[in-house]
Amino acid sequence: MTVWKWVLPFVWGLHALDASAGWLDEVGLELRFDDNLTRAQLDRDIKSDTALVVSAAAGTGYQLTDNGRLSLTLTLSGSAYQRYEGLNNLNAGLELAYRWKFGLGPYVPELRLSGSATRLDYRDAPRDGWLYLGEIAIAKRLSDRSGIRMSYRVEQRESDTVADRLRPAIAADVFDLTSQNLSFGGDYAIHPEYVFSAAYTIRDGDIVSTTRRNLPVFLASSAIAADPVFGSGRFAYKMKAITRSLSLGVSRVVGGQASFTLGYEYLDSRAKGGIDYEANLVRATYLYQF
Amino acid sequence: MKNTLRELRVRMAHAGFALTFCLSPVGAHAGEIHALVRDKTGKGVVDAVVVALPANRSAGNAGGASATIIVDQVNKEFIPYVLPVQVGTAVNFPNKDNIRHHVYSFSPAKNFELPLYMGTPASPVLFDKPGAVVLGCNIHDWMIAYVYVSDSPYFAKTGADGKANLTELPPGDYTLRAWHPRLAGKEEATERKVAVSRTGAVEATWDIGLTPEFRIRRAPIPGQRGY
Repeated sequence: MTVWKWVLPFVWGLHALDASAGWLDEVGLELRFDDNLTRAQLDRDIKSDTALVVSAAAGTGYQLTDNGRLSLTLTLSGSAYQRYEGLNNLNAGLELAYRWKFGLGPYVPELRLSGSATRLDYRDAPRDGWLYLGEIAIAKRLSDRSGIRMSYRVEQRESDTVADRLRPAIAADVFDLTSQNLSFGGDYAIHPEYVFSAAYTIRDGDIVSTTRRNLPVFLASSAIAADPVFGSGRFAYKMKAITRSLSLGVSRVVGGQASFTLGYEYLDSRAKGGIDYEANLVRATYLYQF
Repeated sequence: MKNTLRELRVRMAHAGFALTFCLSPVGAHAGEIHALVRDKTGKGVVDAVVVALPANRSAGNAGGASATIIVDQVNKEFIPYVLPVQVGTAVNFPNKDNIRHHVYSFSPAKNFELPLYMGTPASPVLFDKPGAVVLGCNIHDWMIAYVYVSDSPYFAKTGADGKANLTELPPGDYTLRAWHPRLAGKEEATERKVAVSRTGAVEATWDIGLTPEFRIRRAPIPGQRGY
């Protein structure tokens, strides 16, 4: 509630500053397959599933100066899983971003600062909470065909409730997570209608691995809670890990304002005690920008 | 009458029709050039500009054009994509969107900037040197358009069928040129000489090479919202 006390006057002030602000709208539909949804190390614990994700973003942009643009965007997304329905979720977020272009034209560097707060509402109530993101990113278009970008992002996830402790001495806040992410990426038009994109990200922070009782994972973890979403006798373990990810995608322009993208992401996480896992994600995404 | 003609030309340019200018007096005996611009596959090329340079420069209007025509900004796009004008033409850039645009060009033929604005700028931009001028918007990088500034009053833009007609040409010798935003090679390489008579029409066909159209895309890429 405190947040809204300053957000609403801020938005009102922006409208007073620039009554000609324009709406930014984007809608998307994504089919996502994850071959290791549990982020587990052992085959017996690995669960895969496919989710349908619907998203929309609407907001206002304020061109404050020739080079500076402030945008306030409301994001909505919903995911429906085929097998593990406890992961079905509906999220609503608010993002404030400031973009600065260092000059005139499409080839000058751009700086983007953003912060967002997203409400997470899962069918599995213990996963409900808030996700806060802060990001600084710089991007530069090298030519009509290519561009590069780099970003640093901090994430903090806070759950509404903490599950009952399995043991008095063991923390159970498995869905209270923090991480730092450093990402490098680029895109290249391989054809006037097709863009190839790639990104490499290093994430340092908490991960959640859901397994059966597992002593090595237990020893590496900082919090444990029952996780019935993946069946009885499953436990979510929170651990510190370094995760490296490589994402690749080919995006096709559909009618100028829309795109259809096939994407692949490889995740490799390594926690202390030799706990590591790999995951592969495949995405088919349609996005339309108004 | 002058205002009516000006309005007609503005409307034609706005609608993106093949457009023919003739600023010399309309004579009873005037020639025509029927131009066809095709790509290497034989398909008609839209938005090519065909220019007829009279050997006798006095046949043209050395004083240049006096009308003000427009390049619109609608739904975050420039309209038309290609606008041919004569040297000396003033072009206005009304913004029909409910957001601000920032129009600029770095082209040697016209280097200018219209910082953030809505509505119609107070003063049009005078295009006083021949050549192709690339337009951009500093807010929306995908917005691009071209003003082709001709040093001859005789020019036309091809339609979807690749055809354009240059009419009411004084009889005489002309050098023809074809230009397109994606023309492979130099415009001068398309030159050819023709003689225009008082009656009948000269047919001129070009088979031009086009470079691939790599434009900064408007369509979003997943995970890159905000750029």
